[in-house]
Amino acid sequence: MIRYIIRRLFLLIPILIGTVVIVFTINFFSDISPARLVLGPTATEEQVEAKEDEWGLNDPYLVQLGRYFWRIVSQGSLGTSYIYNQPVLKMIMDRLPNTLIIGLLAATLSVMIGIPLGILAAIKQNTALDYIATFLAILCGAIPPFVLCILMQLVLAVRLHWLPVSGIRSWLGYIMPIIACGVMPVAMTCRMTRSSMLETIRQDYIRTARAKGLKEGTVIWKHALKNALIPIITVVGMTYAMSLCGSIISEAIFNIPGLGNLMNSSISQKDYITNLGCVLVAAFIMSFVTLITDLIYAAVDPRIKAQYAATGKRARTYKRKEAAV
Amino acid sequence: MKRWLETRKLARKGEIRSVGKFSLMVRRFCRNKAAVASLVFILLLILIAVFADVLTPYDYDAQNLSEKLRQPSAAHWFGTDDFGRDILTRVFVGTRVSLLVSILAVGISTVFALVIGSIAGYFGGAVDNVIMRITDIFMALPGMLFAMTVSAALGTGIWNTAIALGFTSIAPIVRQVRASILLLKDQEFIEASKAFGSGNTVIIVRHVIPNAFAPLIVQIALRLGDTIMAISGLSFLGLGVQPPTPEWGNMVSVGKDYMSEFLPLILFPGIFVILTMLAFNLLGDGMRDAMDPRMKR
Amino acid sequence: MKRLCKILAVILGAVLLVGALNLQQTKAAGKTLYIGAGYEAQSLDPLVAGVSGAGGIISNAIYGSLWTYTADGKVNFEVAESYEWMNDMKTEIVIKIREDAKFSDGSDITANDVMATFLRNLNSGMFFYVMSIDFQNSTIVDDKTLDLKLSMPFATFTEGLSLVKISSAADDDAKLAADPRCSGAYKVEQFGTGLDTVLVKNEYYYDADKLVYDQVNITGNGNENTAFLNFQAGEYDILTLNDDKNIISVRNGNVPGTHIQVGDIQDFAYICLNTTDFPEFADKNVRGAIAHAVDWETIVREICGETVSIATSGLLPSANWAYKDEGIYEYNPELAKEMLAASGYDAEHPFEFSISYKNAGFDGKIAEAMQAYLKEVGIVMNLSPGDAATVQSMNQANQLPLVFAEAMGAQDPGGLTNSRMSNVPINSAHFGAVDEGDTYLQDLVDEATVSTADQETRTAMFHEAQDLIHDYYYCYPLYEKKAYFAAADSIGDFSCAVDANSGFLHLENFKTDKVEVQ
Repeated sequence: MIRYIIRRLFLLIPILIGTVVIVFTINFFSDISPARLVLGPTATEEQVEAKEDEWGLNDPYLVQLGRYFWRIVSQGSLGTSYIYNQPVLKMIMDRLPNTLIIGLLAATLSVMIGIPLGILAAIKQNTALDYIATFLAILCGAIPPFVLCILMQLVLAVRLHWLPVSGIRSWLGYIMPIIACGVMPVAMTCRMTRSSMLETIRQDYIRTARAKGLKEGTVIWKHALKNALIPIITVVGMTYAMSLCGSIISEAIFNIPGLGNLMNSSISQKDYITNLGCVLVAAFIMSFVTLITDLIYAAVDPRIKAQYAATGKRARTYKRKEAAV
Repeated sequence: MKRWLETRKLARKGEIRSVGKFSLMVRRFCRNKAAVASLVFILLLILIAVFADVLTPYDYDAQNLSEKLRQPSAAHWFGTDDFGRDILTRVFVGTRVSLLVSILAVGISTVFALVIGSIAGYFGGAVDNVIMRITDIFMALPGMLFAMTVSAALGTGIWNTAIALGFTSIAPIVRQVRASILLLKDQEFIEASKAFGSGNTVIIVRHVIPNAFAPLIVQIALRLGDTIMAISGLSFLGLGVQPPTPEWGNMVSVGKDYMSEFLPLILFPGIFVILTMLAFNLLGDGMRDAMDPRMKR
Repeated sequence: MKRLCKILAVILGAVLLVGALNLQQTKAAGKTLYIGAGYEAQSLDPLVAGVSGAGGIISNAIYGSLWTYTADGKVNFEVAESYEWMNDMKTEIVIKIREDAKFSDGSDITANDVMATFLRNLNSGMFFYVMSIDFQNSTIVDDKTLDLKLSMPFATFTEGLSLVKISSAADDDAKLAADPRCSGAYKVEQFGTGLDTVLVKNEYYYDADKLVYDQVNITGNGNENTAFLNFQAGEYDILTLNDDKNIISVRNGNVPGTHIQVGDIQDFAYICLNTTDFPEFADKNVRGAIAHAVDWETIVREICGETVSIATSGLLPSANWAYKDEGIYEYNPELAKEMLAASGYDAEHPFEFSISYKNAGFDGKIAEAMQAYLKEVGIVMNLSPGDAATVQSMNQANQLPLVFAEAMGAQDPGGLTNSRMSNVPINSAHFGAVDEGDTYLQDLVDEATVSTADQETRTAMFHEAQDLIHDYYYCYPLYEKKAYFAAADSIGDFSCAVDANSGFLHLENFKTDKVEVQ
């Protein structure tokens, strides 16, 4: 098991390298130069060239890429922003806690609401409760995030004055972004829980458990839910991954100084190096959460744990079967 | 073939109840009222998209600056926007744009994903490994971020947005296709084909791909909805489709600034987005339920 | 499972509690002013902070310039106490710095600091006024005196210097960005990501007693809309406004207890054409057709609203001595069609071109409106809007035939003087020939800028230039607007003198006299 964890941690590195390469390549072929933008309209060609040389933007593809990675390894630095002249790592670290807090709370709340709701809907299938819950879930999943954010802002902040319009100067400012980020995951979690539970409840062993005379509560919570968990964990994992990376739209509307906002501004201002830094951090978060999700699979399902622990030829066979799941 | 035709003829006459897999699915689907309603709505949208020019008396870019920001009236059922253009026309033409970009994007991603996923699933081994690792890398990128980066690099407009969105959603579909292929690969009819001596390509094209298609259809329906939302999101952020081309997302983006005094500009496009998303979601769910005999509603 | 839920609930409660206890407090003793702006400041470096949004307000508050200009052209000395041209050629100027000018840490502002600031500006490539300084031969006479030699005369040199913010020679880039020595009326107490910027009185400021506010809180928002919503909710005393909608909203009384204060800067928007890289625009008939095909008055009135007035000249109106009112181009589609026909364009061979512009503010709307008008006379203008960075890049690379440009302040009459700089891509440099091969207009402007002729002659030259520009349709003037601030009635009457060169508050000029509320 430990070997599996270590192997996965090592696998993180090529993934991160890969994501950086992809985004770097996309940006490389763009012909908008941040040097020109920073220097302004009165700059001469020579000045633009000089600035670009200073930032290493005129070097060949591999040199730039190599330099980027070497800088990470040797100095632990992600470079300096072209536009703001501050270290990229510092800018990201200043903003990351805000995004993480919102993401964590949004994902946790959505799980805490979505799973029980889904279970309830599955147990009481085809009753009014089921229809209402499903309908609400679908509706929540269908509202575009920016519409929701704007509506909340107008109603809760401007008309009712209950919450601040934007920013996170007080804890009240966190409420609307959390709701905005949490609505879609609630929908997904609820629906996935419901369908997974429904599928599990139909299994024979549930019928056996009931026939044995076990209490309905035990049947549902101890037997059905545990077995239904795998797809639910998939969704929950995805939820955490997306939430922790920051919602670009809600951070833009509520003016949260977070990772999403930094991504947004770095893309629109062609601040390529900050863009790369954000991508790296976001990819790291996503991969890390995926790893944790996979570990939770192992904790929940001993068969999967066995797969992970297997090595060598057995691992390959297991892997093929696992992929088919 | 002849057998099949005879069966259909008898079924039409009502003498036998066809029990073919496809008709069973259709019947299950029809029982799901919400899904049927969604299908109808989507067909309606397609009609609107195709016949928008005929249905509306105004041009989508016909400005009348002195008539700007008028409330809905007999002349303008949805009111006029900040240039005096008819909102109803723009929402209808926007349907065309949104659907077009969505279909293009999903089309691009499906075609590529189908090919790549099939190759990965069918050949297995090193090829599979390499493709899956590359897919992992793409999946580690948050979707919106990736779409924005590609969009910023390519530029704005219908084609560029479609390419950006299509490109960024190839990875998850590859996973799905590959999983289906893996399940199918060990089935007997593939072995039978091999025993016949059919080449790999023939097997992939003739057997594997059509059978992998079924769960893919569900994915496509859901993706169409997600893509429309993503397009709106991109347009809202300033990428995506730009004015004066009408698109629901950029109309909402403009409308939000007028929200306190003039609601129609955000209300009508917003409603259309929500309804379309709902429709595609319900349709996707309905199709999934119809195809899976174990799921009872 | 239930246990897990309980644990999670406890964690959630704990997090919320911690958050509640950590309310950020920004109360202070003494009078505090709360200002909101549309864009955040990301850096305190005067070259990076920019002139818009919170950055501009902060920059003006914490840094002083040598002098500033009022809207009618009068000099207002700040860090400097005087300047004197040493020769008729106006190529040598002696600047004396105030004796009691000090930075916020108590150190003197010396001639060395001023020179270092000029050099910094030069290296950044940002302010081209400093390019005419001959640094080799300029000298620092003593701590408070500077003797600058110019490599050639430059008509608006002193106006240009009013934009330069004086920073300390001892501060490097990193320090300037986050924690600079402040030469202005206020100094920085708090600045950082997600935080309000808090400024407090600079006790070493030479006029510190006259400052009305002891503390100023400045909040940047992501965009003006959010800022306005915050203002409606009562978060700010003053808000800088650009959007016509919001200005009218306050004027109509939709936000009770507030009013609009007008700042008299000059902001002038116009469209200019690139006749060098796009030879089809070198045809006077084409330019004239566009000028007469569009109903400029209606566009400006309907799109930009009451807060602007239509511009009637190719030059900046605040360039007082250079300005001439030429009148609006007449809306005459028939004439436009005739002009097109004269050059061989008609329904079968329409004149077609593509433009790119940033899709924010008035530019996008004006472009869309123009497209409709041009369509009426048979000109096809294809629009491809983009984000600000892309458009700016294309513009600087001379890839756009038609550009939405803006000029602010009195220091540079409409960008015409840019034509002196050979590589400046703003398309005024491409105000090409009056007739092919003729560089009369260019030469005229060059001479007016660098000649040492008296003001009257120079004025006559600029008037002639404007006549030519108008008659030959080299530029389509759009609108002139002022700086607008929404202010809460509760802060009492205030008068904020607004610099003619930049439209943003000068907090050191806050006074307590009554002022006309418009």
